[in-house]
Amino acid sequence: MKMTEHTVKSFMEGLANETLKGSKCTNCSKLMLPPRPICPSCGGKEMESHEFNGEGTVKACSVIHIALTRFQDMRPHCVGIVWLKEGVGVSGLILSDGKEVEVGSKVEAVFLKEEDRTVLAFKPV
Amino acid sequence: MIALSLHRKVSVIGAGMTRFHHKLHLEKQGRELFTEAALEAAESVDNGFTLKEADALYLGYFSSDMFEGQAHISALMADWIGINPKPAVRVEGACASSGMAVNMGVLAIASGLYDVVVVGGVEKMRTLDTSKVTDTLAMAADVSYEVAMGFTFPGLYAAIASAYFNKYGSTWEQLANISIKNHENGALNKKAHYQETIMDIAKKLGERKQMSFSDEMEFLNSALNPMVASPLRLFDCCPISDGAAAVILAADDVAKKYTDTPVKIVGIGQASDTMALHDREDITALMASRVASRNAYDMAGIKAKDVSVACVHDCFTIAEIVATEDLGFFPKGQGGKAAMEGRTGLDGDVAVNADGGLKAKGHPVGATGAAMVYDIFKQLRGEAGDHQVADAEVGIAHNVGAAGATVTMQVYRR
Repeated sequence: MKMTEHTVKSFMEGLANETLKGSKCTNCSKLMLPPRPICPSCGGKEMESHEFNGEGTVKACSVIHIALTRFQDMRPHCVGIVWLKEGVGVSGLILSDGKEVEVGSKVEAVFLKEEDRTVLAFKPV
Repeated sequence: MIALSLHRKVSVIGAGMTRFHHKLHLEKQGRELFTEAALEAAESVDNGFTLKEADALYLGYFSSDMFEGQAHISALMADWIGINPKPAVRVEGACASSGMAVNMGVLAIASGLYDVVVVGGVEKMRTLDTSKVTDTLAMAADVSYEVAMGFTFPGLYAAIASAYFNKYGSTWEQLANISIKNHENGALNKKAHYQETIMDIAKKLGERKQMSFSDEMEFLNSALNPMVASPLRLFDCCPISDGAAAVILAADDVAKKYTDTPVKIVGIGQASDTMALHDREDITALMASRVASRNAYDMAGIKAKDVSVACVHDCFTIAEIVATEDLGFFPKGQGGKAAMEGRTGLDGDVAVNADGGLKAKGHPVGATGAAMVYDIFKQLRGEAGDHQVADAEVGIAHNVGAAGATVTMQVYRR
């Protein structure tokens, strides 16, 4: 395995290109997002790249009123854990005008471009 | 594989802590706070003890780097409490830092290497304003994959509450009830950050704003209890506190030299879980709490029902409800209801957070695990004062790092 694959950098570059890049264990087929070098299920070390399509449901959400310094200008903003169709969870902003969305709501990934990075977000569909 | 017993048994022979507070310690550094706690611990040893008798120091401090701009804090503390050239180790496991330090101290004595060690923790948090504290605490979560998407630390527990409410149909009133109970307990504890009931606070804040409240729920539903991360409001969150705690551990075979009434550590446990909350299929329970507590109970040869007094990690009100289920006190989904029925009160089935918990006692992150041991030590010796639990035989300390990626446990017996 090349150590430049399945890294935080490869995930962030994926976001910049509006893709959700994870990994798939070639031994047990487990999907991982973000990508990892070692499979937490079987211990396998051979990974292939896997692109997730970004559709899922909200598993939990919260409207953040006391925000991180970096998110002060979005306050209040909604964050959530989204369970993707492929069966993995991921954290993201929820674009719901600072309001809670119901657990179980369907959402899809969107990519918020900022000056120096891309933030993963989800919008209700 | 995990052994069911340690090669050498370990007891607590002394414990000390500063009061936890947001204002009292503004003129002090972490080094002064920890020294104060360590000196009090030494003075609490019945037959006398000087810190120089310690063979090593294990210190929990989550973020001396961010809060005080000081690293290499283990050596600094060893120097300041006057134990050079004894070895000192900093242990960092977010909010479970000193729970880990306690376990490390137990293992060091059990190995036969040392006879007596000082363990403890400190956090000097009030050097930063609330938004910088929020940034610093968020470093305990996955910075690249959770924090970068806007999750704060309260946000993670809010997500747990969101999933829990959805699964079990519970409501925020059950959370508020935990806050009311822990403030009632804190009002009885001279070391607590808030020695005030929710009603005391409602009256004080109400007078300032010219508002009056007929009961706790009216206050907790008001604008004086603003949202932090929905559904968690201000009084669902532990405060930002400065403070330190220290505990002196000794091998059983040397403990009798120091006291006739040591508190025995009969079981320990620690477990890890995924760093990111989103990687867990079920976020209404903390798997690491279940594993760490089962391991500690098995080593102690007890069941959950045998526990009389429990310090559980209530950094947020939802965390106490989830913990009382994960530790086996109540079935899943029943923790909030059980607390509403008074079953976790000072005279309940199991007294949960008799000292006020993180909610009222305060949560200087790195000091919390050792401060739990402080209260269990006092409880099992009948020295807890106004919040003493009658006939306390078996106590536990349950310390959680961040949203459960690290959990430590100890079981204590008098």
